[in-house]
Amino acid sequence: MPLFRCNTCQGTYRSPQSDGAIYFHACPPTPNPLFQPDTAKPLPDARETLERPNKRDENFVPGTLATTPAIIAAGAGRTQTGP
Amino acid sequence: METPNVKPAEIITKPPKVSFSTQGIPAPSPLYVTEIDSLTLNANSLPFAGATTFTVRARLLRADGTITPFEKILATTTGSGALNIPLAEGFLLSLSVLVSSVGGASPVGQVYIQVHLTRGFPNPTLITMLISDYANANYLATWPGGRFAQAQQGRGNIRAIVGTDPAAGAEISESVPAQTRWRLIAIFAQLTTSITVATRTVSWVLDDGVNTYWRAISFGTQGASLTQSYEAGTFGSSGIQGNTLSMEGLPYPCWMTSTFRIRTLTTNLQAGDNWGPPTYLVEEWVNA
Repeated sequence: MPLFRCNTCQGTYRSPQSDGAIYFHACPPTPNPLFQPDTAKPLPDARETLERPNKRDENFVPGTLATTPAIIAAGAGRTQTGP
Repeated sequence: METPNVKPAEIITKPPKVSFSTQGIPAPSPLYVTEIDSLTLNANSLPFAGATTFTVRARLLRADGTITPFEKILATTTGSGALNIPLAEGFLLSLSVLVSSVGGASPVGQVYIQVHLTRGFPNPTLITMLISDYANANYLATWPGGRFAQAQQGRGNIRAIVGTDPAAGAEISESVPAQTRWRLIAIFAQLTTSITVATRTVSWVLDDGVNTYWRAISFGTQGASLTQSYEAGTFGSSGIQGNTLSMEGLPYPCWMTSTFRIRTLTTNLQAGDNWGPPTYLVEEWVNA
């Protein structure tokens, strides 16, 4: 269960997981410091979060599994930080 | 001495009431195929299935009365792929697909296969479907006698996932992988706040990658230098327990498909606040 750190968002994750399944990391959006989430509204305002620059998304591009699987976005890559 | 007048022994056999022909018998199969027909295997798996081998075995009754068994193998690195098998003239008697994964028997719900009778190459015309089912090393998909199932039918694969542990100041965001349909059952995570004084309020949010369609705001708030737990599940109630655990009810059933996300949205999240990795339980199907 190698431990990885995403070089874009600095999040850490294990892949494969304890059951052997691959985990597909995708960077979370970043909070918008100028637009706090308003709990008085029933649904969030899209401006409350910002798409992370150079986002990493390890999910496969739809339709590529049967041929040559490709991840959606490599971002800044990842670094293995533990066994 | 005289021999008694006894009849010689004879074998008395009751003749069967049913008789069978031994020549000119119709084939015990409704499926007559020719050289321009093919079998086409399409395999679709959950994206983490990994290297998977599909063994197609069939028996063909030829025009001269001989039965010809044959076997074709499709080896994949991802559990997804396609294989075309040209046929000879005759009656297709039986067909099966065996699935074997590198990691052993994959649970039912991970590998979905379809076998069609097709005509023409390289752009075959689909004639009919023979197999449409999940399969693994312990469950052969077969024709005839198998069941027809859509990829989203029946019980799925149950899996607990430990998500990404976000960096300090970042929210939780978990996305549904490609070619996958989830039924989210429950999710749990903890937030540890920094010494910065502020009143944090946590929401669980569901979106399709762009558009938000559901949000649940926690009952309680969280101040500085505290660790509190937040969970959401399809248990149908919401509340707070002991000021340290906030529970929210998810939509039931909570269907999600590729690109959909479950994430947190924290009002007044500070740079030093730190979400731990979420743990969540899903039932999943191949979204083929």
